[in-house]
Amino acid sequence: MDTRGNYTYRYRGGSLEANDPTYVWRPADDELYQQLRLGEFCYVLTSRQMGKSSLRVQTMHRLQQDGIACVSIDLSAIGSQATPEQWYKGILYRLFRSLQLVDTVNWQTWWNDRSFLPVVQRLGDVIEGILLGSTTQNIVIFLDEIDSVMSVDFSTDDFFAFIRACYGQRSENPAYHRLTFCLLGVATPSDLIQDKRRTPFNIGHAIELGGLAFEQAHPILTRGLAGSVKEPAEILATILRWTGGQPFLTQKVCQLVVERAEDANPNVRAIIQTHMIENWEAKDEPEHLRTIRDRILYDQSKAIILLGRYQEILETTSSLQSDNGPDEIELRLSGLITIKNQCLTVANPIYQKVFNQDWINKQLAKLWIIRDEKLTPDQVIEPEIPKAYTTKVIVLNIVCIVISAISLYLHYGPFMGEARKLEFSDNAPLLSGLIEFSRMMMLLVSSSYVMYFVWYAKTLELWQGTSQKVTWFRRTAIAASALLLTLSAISNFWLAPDYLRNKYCAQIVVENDFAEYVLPSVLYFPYICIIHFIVAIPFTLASLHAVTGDLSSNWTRTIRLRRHIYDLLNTHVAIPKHLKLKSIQSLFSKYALMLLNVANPYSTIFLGAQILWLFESRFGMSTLTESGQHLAVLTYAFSFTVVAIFVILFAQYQRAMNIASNALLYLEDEQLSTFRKEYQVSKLLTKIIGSNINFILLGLIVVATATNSLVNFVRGL
Amino acid sequence: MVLKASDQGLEIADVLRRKKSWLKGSPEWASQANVSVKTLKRFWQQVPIQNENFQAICQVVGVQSWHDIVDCQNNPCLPEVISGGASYIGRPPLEDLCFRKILQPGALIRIKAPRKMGKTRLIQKIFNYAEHHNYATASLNLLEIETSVLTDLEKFLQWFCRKLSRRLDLDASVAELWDPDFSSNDNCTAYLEDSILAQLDTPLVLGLDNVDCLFQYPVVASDFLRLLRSWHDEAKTYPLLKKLRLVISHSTEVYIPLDVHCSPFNVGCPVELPEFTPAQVLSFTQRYGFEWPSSQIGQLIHLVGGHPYLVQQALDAVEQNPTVGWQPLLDAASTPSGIYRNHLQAIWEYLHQDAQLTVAIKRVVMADQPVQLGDDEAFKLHSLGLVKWNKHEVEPRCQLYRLYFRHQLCGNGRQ
Repeated sequence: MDTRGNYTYRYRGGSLEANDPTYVWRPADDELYQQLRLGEFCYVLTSRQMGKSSLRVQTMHRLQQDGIACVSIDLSAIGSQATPEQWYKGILYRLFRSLQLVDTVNWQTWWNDRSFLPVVQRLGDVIEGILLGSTTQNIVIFLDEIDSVMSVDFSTDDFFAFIRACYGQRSENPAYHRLTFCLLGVATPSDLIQDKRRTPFNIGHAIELGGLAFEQAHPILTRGLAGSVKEPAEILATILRWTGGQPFLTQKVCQLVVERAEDANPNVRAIIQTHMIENWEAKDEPEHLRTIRDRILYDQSKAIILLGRYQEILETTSSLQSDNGPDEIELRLSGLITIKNQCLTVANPIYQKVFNQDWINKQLAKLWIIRDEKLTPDQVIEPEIPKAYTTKVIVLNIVCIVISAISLYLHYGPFMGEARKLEFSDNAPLLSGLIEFSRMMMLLVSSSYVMYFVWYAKTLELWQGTSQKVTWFRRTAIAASALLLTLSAISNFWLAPDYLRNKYCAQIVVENDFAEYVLPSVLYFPYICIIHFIVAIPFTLASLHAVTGDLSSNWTRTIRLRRHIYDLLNTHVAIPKHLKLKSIQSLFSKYALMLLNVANPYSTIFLGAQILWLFESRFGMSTLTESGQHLAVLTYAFSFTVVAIFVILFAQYQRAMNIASNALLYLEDEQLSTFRKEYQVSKLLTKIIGSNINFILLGLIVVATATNSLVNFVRGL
Repeated sequence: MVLKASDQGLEIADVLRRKKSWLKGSPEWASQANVSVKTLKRFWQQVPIQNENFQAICQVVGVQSWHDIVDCQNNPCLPEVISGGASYIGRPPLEDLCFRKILQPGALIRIKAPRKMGKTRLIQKIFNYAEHHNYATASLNLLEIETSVLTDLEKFLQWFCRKLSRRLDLDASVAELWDPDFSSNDNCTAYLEDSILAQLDTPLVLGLDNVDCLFQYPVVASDFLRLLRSWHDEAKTYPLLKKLRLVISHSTEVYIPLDVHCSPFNVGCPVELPEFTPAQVLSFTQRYGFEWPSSQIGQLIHLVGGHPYLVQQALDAVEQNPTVGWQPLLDAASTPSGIYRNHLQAIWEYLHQDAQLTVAIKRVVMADQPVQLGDDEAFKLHSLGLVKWNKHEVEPRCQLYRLYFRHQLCGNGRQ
């Protein structure tokens, strides 16, 4: 008998060699061998590390001893980036190479001569013309890693149809009786080919590859245990109970027992618990459990359904009938579940302990978080504002302020003509200049702040973006600027002097017409330009861009929230109720937070505009001409569109709120009333008003209004 | 002690240099490494330069381990510590296992460990052994590939074939033999079989170091790993491929990308590198000619465990600066000015990219007891070599990490 020194259990990936002493025979061995001998098309489609490749090696060995030529083609080795032509040629290359015919037959010329034919037909021609002609032996072609056809870029339906055709041609061309195919891999027939009429799988023979059974494993696997334990047969039986006969796990546990046994009567349960189940992710080398995990989780939308179905199977103590649904087949392919006596069960106790309820909950929670994050993809983290940018904005502001100060001083100071003094006689000229200057400061600083800092990302997009919308916006800006420039030039240099000239020519004596009427306008012009081109036009565009963007993204968010909740309620039946509730609540709270973020800047702008309006109504109007006054009123009235924005946002919020509370109602959530109370619209308003800057602005408005009324009241007395 | 770079080392440095867009005599490089431009030029001319300068030049340009750069063969004054020769510290039974495996037809050895655990040296050791058996050997360091090659499978496989031929002094007419009618993988296999293995009378041990560099390029990685897998698998049937013995090393920081439609890359014989045992640390110090009392060795082990690279750094430092006492060196070790600053800095930068991991490591180092972490975080930190398991819980792998990260994380917390 072997001692433990020179007996090693094999649990690596890849296959065991034909003469490997640890290979355990299974019923599938004989079945596959017999069917292939009869020339039947066979396929072994089962989960990973079940010993498919080892079964192939054994079967090839037996068939070769019967004088049958065997070829094994690892389809994954051709590579996933091959073109159809390279792929089919790769198959032929492997075929002739492994039959050692590469040097004797000239299949490549044959292949190249038929370049006008479709590739599959060329493959058929070469096989019929050269392969079948070059040998009189029967040939069995094993196609391993068949699932790798799902990684290539083209449809391989033709290839499977070709296999079927090889069987169809047997009646016409008896040579085809000598050609047999066997497919091995991790896939379902319908994963590989959809077309029911062309699929070879309904004319073939499915080989079920089960776990290792004690009767067959007993003499072989106990040999390795014999050196270290007293009752090898009993230990092996225990091991097989734990592993459900899964070949990889069985070999690995056997090896663990040999290595870790403390005495001749080792505790298999404890060994498995410590060295396999605890921190399994770190101990899973070579990968086995991780491949199962990844197979279930890799497609996130499918994973939730698979986990739900698996949970059902895990929980059920009574028998759960197999329905052969796609989810169930996917789970069976992962190896996690299996059919025992026509009932679905978890494949073995090790999986049951590793992939337990706790694990399911964690994964489901994680999957929901991932999906939740998709709901609010951008904007969560505002990009950091670079220092150089801040400096630029500040410098721009300072330059504008200095220019306007000079412009206003010269206009209202030394160069203000007599006519203008008469026209604006309400205030002392320098006071008017001061008022205009204050207005300009307020407008410039607040609009710069909102545009360049609050809407940093949006403004940047507006100036640098390439989308159709922003390009259009930019063009409009240029057109509007040009128009405005012309208009203000005309009004400043021509209309306004003309108006003054006509009005006051009788009252004053003019020595120099230019200095009296035109020069003040020219001096005033830089200030006008700053107000128009640095403040008004950019700010209008930026707000339009921001408003349209914000409203549409909020609209999308509302729709997504609705769809998400709908999915949660209707599609994913298997998810436990508490997770659904939690998910809905967290979704909605995120939605509310995002809405708050959107609404906040607008409320600030609105309140800021009100303050400016108060200023204007108290002091500013007197510095403007009549038309200027109308324009100013119009501009400030425009700020009331913010109210419209709020109405839209709140309407959307209300809608989302209704969707969420209906869902909670449907799920019979006991905390529904708390939820409604917490998220009612008035709460949202309070939150918006309660935010720092808004609170300050509101305070300012109240103080300003109060002072204003007081002053008016005193004056009235 | 003076060192000079090998041809292969210069290639690595050249690639890294270009990534930083530095010239060969870049003053910026020189000043960052605190050497003169002249010294830097001597580095390129393969004129031996001072050990410290050599290391600084390598570190600044981003070389992970300067041992990859140094010329071991033609450097008589190089201590054997570096060459992995006579003073290689064995970690039985690892080496024997590898030696046994490498003699088997179609062998595939996968060495995986966190960074700086001695993977490259184990490969070197296996090579020495194979050369002793008159096997041909060739080693490719995937660190030296340029990014543009890594994003194109065909370019990469051609690079692979060309490099391999050159290493073996074979004719490297890869482009002429590349047949566009076949897939890149098939071309590579055919080239390996016809132009390399068939030309050699002996088995070929092919070492692929730093394979993890590939993993972030899934376009290349998944197909290349399938190719390696198929060579190993087909060696069971094709006599020619039996001559190929693969030794692959990858660090555990990065995961092997898993393609669910393909068997995972779990073939061959996996080898994980453990830390040095106290006895091995002792014999390491003796190789340096130090006669340390067991208390001093105890202090070193208490600080860095048996981490091979950290132990070696300490010994190097003691050897190079005999005037600095042991105690000051030990006290400063975990600070940003200590002997481990570069190593610690590199880990810190890596961790900093992942907020979740930073939080996790903070919990681990702040506690005096082992703590329980989420599966993911624990697994990742363990792969990084920063923590070790203690039943269900994890604790810092060594005192050095605990002290350093405590300092870093607390310092940042206060700011």
